[in-house]
Amino acid sequence: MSSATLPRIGVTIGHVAQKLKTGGIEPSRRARLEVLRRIVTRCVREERVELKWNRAVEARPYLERLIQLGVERGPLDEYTAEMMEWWLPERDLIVKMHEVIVPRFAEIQSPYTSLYRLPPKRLQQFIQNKREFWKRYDIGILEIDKNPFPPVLSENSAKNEESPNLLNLLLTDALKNNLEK
Amino acid sequence: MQTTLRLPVVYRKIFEFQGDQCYRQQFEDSQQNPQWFQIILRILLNFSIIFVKKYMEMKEKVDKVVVNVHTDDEPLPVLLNRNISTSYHAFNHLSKHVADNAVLVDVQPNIGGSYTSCVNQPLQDQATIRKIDFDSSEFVNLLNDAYWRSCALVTAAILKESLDVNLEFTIPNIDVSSGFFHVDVEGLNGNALSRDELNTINRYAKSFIKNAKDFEVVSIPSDLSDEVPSNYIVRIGDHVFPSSGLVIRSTSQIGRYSILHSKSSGIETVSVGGVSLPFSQPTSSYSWGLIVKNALTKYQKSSSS
Repeated sequence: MSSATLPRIGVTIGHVAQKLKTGGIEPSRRARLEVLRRIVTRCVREERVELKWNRAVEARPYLERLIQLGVERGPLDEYTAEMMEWWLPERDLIVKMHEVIVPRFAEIQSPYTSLYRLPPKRLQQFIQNKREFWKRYDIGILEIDKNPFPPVLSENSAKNEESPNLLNLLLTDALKNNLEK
Repeated sequence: MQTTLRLPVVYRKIFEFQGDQCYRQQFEDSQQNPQWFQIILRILLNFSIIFVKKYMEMKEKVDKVVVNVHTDDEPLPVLLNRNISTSYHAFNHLSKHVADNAVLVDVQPNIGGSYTSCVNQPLQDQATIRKIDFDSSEFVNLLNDAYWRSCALVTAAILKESLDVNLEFTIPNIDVSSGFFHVDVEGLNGNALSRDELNTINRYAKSFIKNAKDFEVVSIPSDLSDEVPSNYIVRIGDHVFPSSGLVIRSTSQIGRYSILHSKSSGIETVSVGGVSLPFSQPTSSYSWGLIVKNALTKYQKSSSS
């Protein structure tokens, strides 16, 4: 049985595939999946991970679908078991998924994950002829909801989202009027 | 002894006249004047000769005043010229970056209550000043109002430079929540500007804003408030406008800007509306498109009502 009968996941699926650099693996479609599998595995283990923004964007739908399979079908479903086995190569993580993560979302609608954007980081790449080469990275936080860590957004930052600065005022009004049409 | 005054050009030229010769008739008789003379003429006709005389009294004496600039550590004392130096000069002692980013100033005088002033407004007394920029969490509504008012004034200046006719402007007080600003223009015989004309004006507006023209501000003394109908006089480039409130430091603080639409709002009056965002609040072209579309819809609705 495939995932065709599952409801649509509650996160955005990009129209253009993000380019994922496959360091250490020969570039191919398989290598891309390996990168995504690493991220999903790490995310299930750590529940909140900080990584490059494009990787977080790309991995989120896969993680979301994996949790959804657990919630909708349960551990006895053949397709779910196959997916869990592939995406989570470490056995203990499959147990964690079914016994810890999935029960959290039994009564909750998708999305089961959250994605936040951090300020870009500028990191030194290498030094050549005493000249420093720096590169700017967009950073994102991908997390499974209802994790035991402190919330990424504090109450104050939630208030900041409603800040009355000019851009916020105009954009909020524009979106509101756009939705009403 | 003659004292060199470091004031904006318009006011410096005013000081070069002798008070007894400041008669309105003499100005009107002079037909071949340079551009600054026409500006002075406009000020004198509109805002009374007393205003000029008031500033001429200051010509002979330039006092020094110590102003403390608020910093994260200790306040930085700066020696300035009373009624001549502005907060911008004071902030430059700290850093040019701080001075350029300042939009408004919170002034806490040694005597009296605190108030908010423009960055290019001369300082009058000993005080502690603190810059307010677009990232400040305080005074947000004040900032928004000042920005909206400044955009309306810039629109008036742009229209005046781009249209080869004598125009009179009225800057109405518009709330930011309305989503657009507008100016009422007299002198176009009630003919609204076409889309092509607005496109051309918008192209010119980009270069006008890019030139980083300062908003030079003089507040009207309370004893002249009966004669002058506004609180401030603002000069942008070669143009002088009355203003009912505070304005930003420079056109360089204006980011995305667009004049959207023009409509007849009376027999002689034409209203020109636009929308803008500060330079320090960048947004994607998609979001800007939503804001422009919303502003245009609201402006057109306001025209039909």
